[in-house]
Amino acid sequence: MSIVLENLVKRFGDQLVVDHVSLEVTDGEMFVLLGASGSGKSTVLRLIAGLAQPDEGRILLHGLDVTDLAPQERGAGFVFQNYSLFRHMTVAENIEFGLRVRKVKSKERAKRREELLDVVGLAGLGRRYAHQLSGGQQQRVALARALAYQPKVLLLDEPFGALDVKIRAQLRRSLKRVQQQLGVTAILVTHDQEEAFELADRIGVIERGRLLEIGPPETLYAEPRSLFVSTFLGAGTVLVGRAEGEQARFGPLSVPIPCNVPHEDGASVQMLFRPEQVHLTEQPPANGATVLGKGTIVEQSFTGTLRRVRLRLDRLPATRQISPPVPFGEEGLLVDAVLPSSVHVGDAELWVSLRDWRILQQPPFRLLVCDSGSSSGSLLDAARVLAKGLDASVTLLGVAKSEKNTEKLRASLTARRQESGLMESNIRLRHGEPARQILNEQAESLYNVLLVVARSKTPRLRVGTGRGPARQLGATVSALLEHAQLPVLIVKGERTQFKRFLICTAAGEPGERDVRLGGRIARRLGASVTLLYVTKDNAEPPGLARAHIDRALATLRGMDVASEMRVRQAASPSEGILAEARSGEYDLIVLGSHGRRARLLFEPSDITLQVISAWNRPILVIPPFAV
Amino acid sequence: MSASIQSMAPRRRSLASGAMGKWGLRGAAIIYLGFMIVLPLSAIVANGFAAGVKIFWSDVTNPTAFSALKLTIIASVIVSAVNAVMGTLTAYVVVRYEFIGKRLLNSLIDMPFAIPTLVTGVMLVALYGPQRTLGAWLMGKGIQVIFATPGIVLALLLITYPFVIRAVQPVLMEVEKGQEEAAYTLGASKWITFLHIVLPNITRALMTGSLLTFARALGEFGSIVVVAGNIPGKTLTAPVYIYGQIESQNQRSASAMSVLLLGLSFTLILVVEWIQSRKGSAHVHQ
Repeated sequence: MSIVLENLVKRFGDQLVVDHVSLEVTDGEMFVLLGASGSGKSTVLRLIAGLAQPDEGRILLHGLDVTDLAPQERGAGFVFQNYSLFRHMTVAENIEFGLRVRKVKSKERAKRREELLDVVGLAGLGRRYAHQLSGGQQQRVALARALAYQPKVLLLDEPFGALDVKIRAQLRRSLKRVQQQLGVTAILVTHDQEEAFELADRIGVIERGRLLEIGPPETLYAEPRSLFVSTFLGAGTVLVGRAEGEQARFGPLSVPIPCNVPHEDGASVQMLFRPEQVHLTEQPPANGATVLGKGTIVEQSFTGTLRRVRLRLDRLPATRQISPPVPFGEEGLLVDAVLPSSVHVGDAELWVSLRDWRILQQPPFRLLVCDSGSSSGSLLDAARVLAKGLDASVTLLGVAKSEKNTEKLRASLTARRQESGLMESNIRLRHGEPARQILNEQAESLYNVLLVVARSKTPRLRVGTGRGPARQLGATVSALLEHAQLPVLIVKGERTQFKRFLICTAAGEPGERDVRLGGRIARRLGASVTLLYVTKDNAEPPGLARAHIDRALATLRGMDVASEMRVRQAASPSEGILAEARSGEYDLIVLGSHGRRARLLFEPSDITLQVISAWNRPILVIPPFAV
Repeated sequence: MSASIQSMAPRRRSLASGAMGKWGLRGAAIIYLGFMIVLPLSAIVANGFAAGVKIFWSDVTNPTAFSALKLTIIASVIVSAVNAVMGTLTAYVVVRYEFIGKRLLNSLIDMPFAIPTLVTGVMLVALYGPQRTLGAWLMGKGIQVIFATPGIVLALLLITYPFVIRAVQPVLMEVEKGQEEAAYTLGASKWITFLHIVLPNITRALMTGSLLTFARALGEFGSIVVVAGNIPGKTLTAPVYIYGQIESQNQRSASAMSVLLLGLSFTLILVVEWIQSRKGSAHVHQ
């Protein structure tokens, strides 16, 4: 093994940038780390080179533990995105620098330099300065410089990021050739999936500091295990259906589930198919084909060799679409396909069937339950009911005041977990300021909903008393409402049944995000949804609002959620929401937090806080930028 | 399209044309410059050479004058050298490292610009004066600071403290950290990296800063007059010598020394300008 990473962890302040990354790269392999910007991929590379120090974990290069060695002692050649050539030196001096530092004789240096200039195709340019070269040539020099002293491994940090497409393709080919010619083990970091496919022997997809999947390009493309990898590596349609025995059902469509995908009866499963796996015909396909239905072309684009088309089909019952993202108000199903560019397609309806597809495991819905160790039992009851209904995994998070109190808290959480029948749940412990730690936890791991309990005593609603409502909510909950990126479920009262949802906002009609998120949870729980429109005047909603609500209802229908709309006249939004909530006996209010968040807690008439203080059942608050 | 250009053209010409518009501003600037700088300059040069080159020469080479000039130049060279080293070091630390109090330090660097130079002198006397703890202790070791050459050097160091730092700092910020990191991964130690990668990048700025330090140190009066003791032949610097000559009504001799100092400063400024212009042309290449 040339490069071995064991459980690497790197934090910048409170933020986890590299999250337990383990990896083995074999001799002579070209390994590509693929991820979006900010995914931590460059940091991994810098850790290997020694330009940053890991907080945990080990790095081995050719069997030697280099974790504590300085970059100078590691022998890792590094190619930077912006070349970082020594500007005051000629090309030749740049390439020879690594050799000169090692006190290699000048004759030998010259020989090696000429070899390398030849290898990277820059023979004869040794006397130029960096600024006399084009970007592509500069990057070739950087590559030659990194290879000159025969490093043990080669690390490339987005080496082609700053170059134009044509030169990029050229350089990719020469990089691959040079790397194979010299047999050096290399790790290349990129966000470009095409680049990864072309260069890699194996690809590792990294997201939020975690290495999600590793495999050869073909395997990752054809058989991804997770939704993220499948959509990151290329276009495709992803549908969510349900497992029924050994079959996955997507409306009328029923396909077998491969045995390596764990599936419980009734659990959600995903189906992925790529554009090239979609078969379009004018005539109905033969019996036995996997038919999605009849569709019309809504979009097409010419890309040279291929014509990409997007078709709109009638929705499949009990099915939700994740990818491509469905516009708000779209009820139908959108399917991407490709055709040879010579084929012209008109407006005619086409039959859409599948040549092939892949069943993915639906990642479990993840609940983060913030338990102080002594909060009321209704929090854990709600967590249990939701976990069962949503088929969700639960993480119990306890925040101790200091490090030495954590063990005590662990004991009490373990006991509470047993009492409340949440035996399957994980326990996470942190210490420090509660709100800060909860926010860190939700930022570092992928959770879907945050559960907190409001203080049990609820004073009467006081309208217009400034920060009163915020104070009586408790500092932690207020801070969470202000900063959390996740929907926050505030557990209040003893209600632990979730069958009727009321979706509403401070401003007239519920927002797009509120409907999508509320709808997704309602779909999983089998709940019905009421959309509320609050108006001051005794009138029907105006045209724009009406159209928006219709789109919201269509979106919910597309998700297969029973929905209706109510209009209520009230002096203020919170009065309207509370009146509807009481008269309709709803189990859960889904509140979109409208407007600018920074002002949320300081607005005397803040609707969110008024509703939370006055209502004694669970409330789901959806932040403005939730995903 | 063409119609709009035609309609634009006369208006543009009316803005730029007219002798007033063209020469009025330039003339004003040039006359102002002449009045403020060229006129006094020529006055002093005329005054210095009033009695002929020979007298001028004897004015600046008489023992007191010559030793004052020598002291000034030696002190300035020492100060420039110390500043070059310590200024680069400080700039490097401020640019490359994060530490508590960095912002405070960064604003403290400019303090010497704001302190009146006389006050600087008083500050040093307060610290190193013979009656003070530190001064007395140093005296016990046989080191006299105030009313001696070390005091002059200290005062000059304090006053010229920001020059090298402020010249090097922006250039250092422009040198990508990537170049240093690249050198590390190629096996170069921190020292080698500094010598071969960082230093060549900041040479020009370093020279500019040092020359400015030198020019500033040549002419320093306020702090020196407090600190040096002004013993002719020993701790009397050229600017203080000039002041003494004026005090004793010897205008010609004062002018002669002034012309010499002026000539030195002017040459230095020309050198700095030249370095700057070379730097500019290098940037165009990049």
